[in-house]
Amino acid sequence: MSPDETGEPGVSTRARERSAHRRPRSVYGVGREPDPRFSLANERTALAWVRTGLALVAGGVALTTVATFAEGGLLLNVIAALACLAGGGVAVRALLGWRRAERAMRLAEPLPAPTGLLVLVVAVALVAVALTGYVVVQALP
Amino acid sequence: MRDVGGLDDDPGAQPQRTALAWNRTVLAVVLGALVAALTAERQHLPGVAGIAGLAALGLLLVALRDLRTWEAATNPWPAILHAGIAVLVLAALGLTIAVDGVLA
Repeated sequence: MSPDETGEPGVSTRARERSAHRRPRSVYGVGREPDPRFSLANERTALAWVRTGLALVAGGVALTTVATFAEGGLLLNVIAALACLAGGGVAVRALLGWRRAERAMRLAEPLPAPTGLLVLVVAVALVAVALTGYVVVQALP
Repeated sequence: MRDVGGLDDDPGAQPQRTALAWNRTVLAVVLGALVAALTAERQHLPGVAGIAGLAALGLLLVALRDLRTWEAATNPWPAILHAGIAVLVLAALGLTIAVDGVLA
């Protein structure tokens, strides 16, 4: 594919016509087409976040099974509920993050800072501490 | 494999890696929905189990349709949105199971 008159590399006229109606308009209605490699990288990042949220939800669901036969099942169910909420939050973060990054690339602005990463690490650490506390309390005579 | 202009010689194999990322994501979401269905079934929540089972099937069909129709690097948003909604649905199902465990 050859660059067209506007100098956008790798985008044919047909593709541009097809892409004229892309949603969401808040992303595709502004700026110009970034290098497709960056868009693909943004897409893979969003999918990685989605899988992370799914892992949190799956962990929460697994905890509910443990809660049915372990001591202190109430606490485990509470942790499971929090893990599911965190997983949902991470999924929302995936969608919002993709939009922000795609807009920033189209407008040639700096990418937003990865604050979501810090929140995720803190959330996972809290779940780990809670579960460790549970195990220690259960191990005490 | 989707047609991405100018990336035929991409040493980073971006379109292929993105396709693989989608495969991993679809697989993970469908398996997650099945785990939620089986867990709900064990906990005697047949309603939640039914919804989760149908969600797994529905999500698979939506994802396959998305991946067939969407073009590389031009409009991935519908597919990403559906994947995000799928995780939110599973989070709601997991939350239901956990809350039911707390109340029981």
